[in-house]
Amino acid sequence: MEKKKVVKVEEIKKAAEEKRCPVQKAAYYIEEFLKGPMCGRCFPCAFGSYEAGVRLRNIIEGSGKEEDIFALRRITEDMIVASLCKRGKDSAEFVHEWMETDAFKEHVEGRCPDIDCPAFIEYIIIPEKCTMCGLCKEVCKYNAVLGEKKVKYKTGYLPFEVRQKRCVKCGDCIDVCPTGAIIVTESRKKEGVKV
Amino acid sequence: MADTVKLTIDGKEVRARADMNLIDAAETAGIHIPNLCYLKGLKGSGACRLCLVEIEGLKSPMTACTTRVKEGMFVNTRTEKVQEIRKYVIDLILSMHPLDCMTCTKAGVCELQKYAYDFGIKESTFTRKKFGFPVDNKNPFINRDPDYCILCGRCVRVCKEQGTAVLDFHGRGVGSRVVTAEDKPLQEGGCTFCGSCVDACPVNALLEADRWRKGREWEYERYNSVCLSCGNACDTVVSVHDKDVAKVNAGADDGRARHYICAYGRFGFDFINADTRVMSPLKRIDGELKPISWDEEANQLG
Ligand code: SF4
Ligand code: SF4
Ligand code: SF4
Ligand code: SF4
Ligand code: SF4
Ligand code: SF4
Repeated sequence: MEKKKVVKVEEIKKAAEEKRCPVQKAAYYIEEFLKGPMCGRCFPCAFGSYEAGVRLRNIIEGSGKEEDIFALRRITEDMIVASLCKRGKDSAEFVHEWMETDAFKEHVEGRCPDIDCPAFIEYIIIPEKCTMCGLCKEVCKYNAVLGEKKVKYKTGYLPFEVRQKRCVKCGDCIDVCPTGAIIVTESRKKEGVKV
Repeated sequence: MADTVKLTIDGKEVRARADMNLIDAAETAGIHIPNLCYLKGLKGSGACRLCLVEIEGLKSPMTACTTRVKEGMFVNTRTEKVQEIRKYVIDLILSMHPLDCMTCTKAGVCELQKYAYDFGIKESTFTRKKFGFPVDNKNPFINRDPDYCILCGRCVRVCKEQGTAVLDFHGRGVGSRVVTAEDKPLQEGGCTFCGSCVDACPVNALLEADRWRKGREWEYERYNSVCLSCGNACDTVVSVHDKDVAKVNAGADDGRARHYICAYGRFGFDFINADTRVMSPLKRIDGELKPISWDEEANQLG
């Protein structure tokens, strides 16, 4: 059996830093850490990082609560003290650092300040800028864009619109819009909240 | 006799053999350092981190199972810092544990139950995790229920030491399991049913078969005994419930890794109630063996 080369925690951290939102950074980091360098040899890190992953996903998906932040603080602080090796301790330090901003609290309150987490954002089309070229509608794989392509000399068109229920926030439409009419904003209502 | 050293544990002066680790040394002074993966007689693995203690002069806590005593050492086993780590780890384990103490056969001697009680953790504050792993119970001696397993690794280590090295981990961390090669049931996996792993398991994940609802641990009477099935004459502890033998464990002090008994000694107690067992002297009368009383027997011999 050939041994897989384990990714270094620093490399994962570097990739995580490319995300804008600190919660996204932490969630990405933990996910990759669990897939790779987390060896499972000690309880505080093996079980703790898994639980951290669960809590981070809660927050990202919009169902985060104050207690998730509390649990993450406890996990990271105890991992720093109790993990068997440096990888576990370092990982906890990274997450702990990302938690220093208010971003986590804001997510729990219903917004992603970096407008990054899909659960907290919306893609919308500004009618004044939209030329009704229909490119976004063509490119959207999820049939989320509502509108009729403009034909010469006809009037009475409704502006193009993103149907929020269908939109998965992939961002493809933004890339093709020639006039920059599509923007990402904070979602108007808190989404994904489990009742 | 090995050299001894003097150290202080929780303010108590302790004299201990120089080659002892801190868990064993503390125990001689009646101080219990919590642990779930340590197995007396085997090298500490430092996995569960419950035995972290603070040593004066050292910045970070050390695992007592892997730290040797040293002359003049000043050890604190109950600081706020290490108690929090213990609570945190127990809390995490409970989040993936069946919490079945009301009917669990292990209740009363279970180490997880004991620590949950000691630290007052009624239920986990972490997210509930469920697995539903298949149970390995197709042999007459040992039940393996991975859902109860806390991944302490004791069974893996003791099987390497005293058994036939058939157990190992599959996967890592949450959702991993102890398995035999190719995940076969024990009887097909090369196990010799010494049962050392059963003695080593702190929870209900490895248990003698046939113990379901046959009395609870605190109802048993325990007798130190000796196995006479072969010349080794191993020490055993026999647990008796309602005049029936409920189980036999490896004997002496605490029945942990240093003590080994084989499958005959551990599971071969069925003969006690067998129809063929000779319970009184027999005399051949008219060509047939008839039971006679012990007095009669004594008279005959005299
Ligand atoms: S802290 Fe180190 S030894 Fe412990 S599980 Fe994490 S990576 Fe493994
Ligand atoms: S973000 Fe993606 S799914 Fe949403 S409207 Fe644009 S292309 Fe369609
Ligand atoms: S193994 Fe221990 S903690 Fe788990 S249900 Fe049984 S007695 Fe309770
Ligand atoms: S009974 Fe003995 S040989 Fe079988 S798994 Fe347990 S320790 Fe190993
Ligand atoms: S089966 Fe028991 S001894 Fe083995 S790892 Fe699980 S809890 Fe530990
Ligand atoms: S436990 Fe096994 S090895 Fe020990 S005396 Fe009994 S039969 Fe012999």
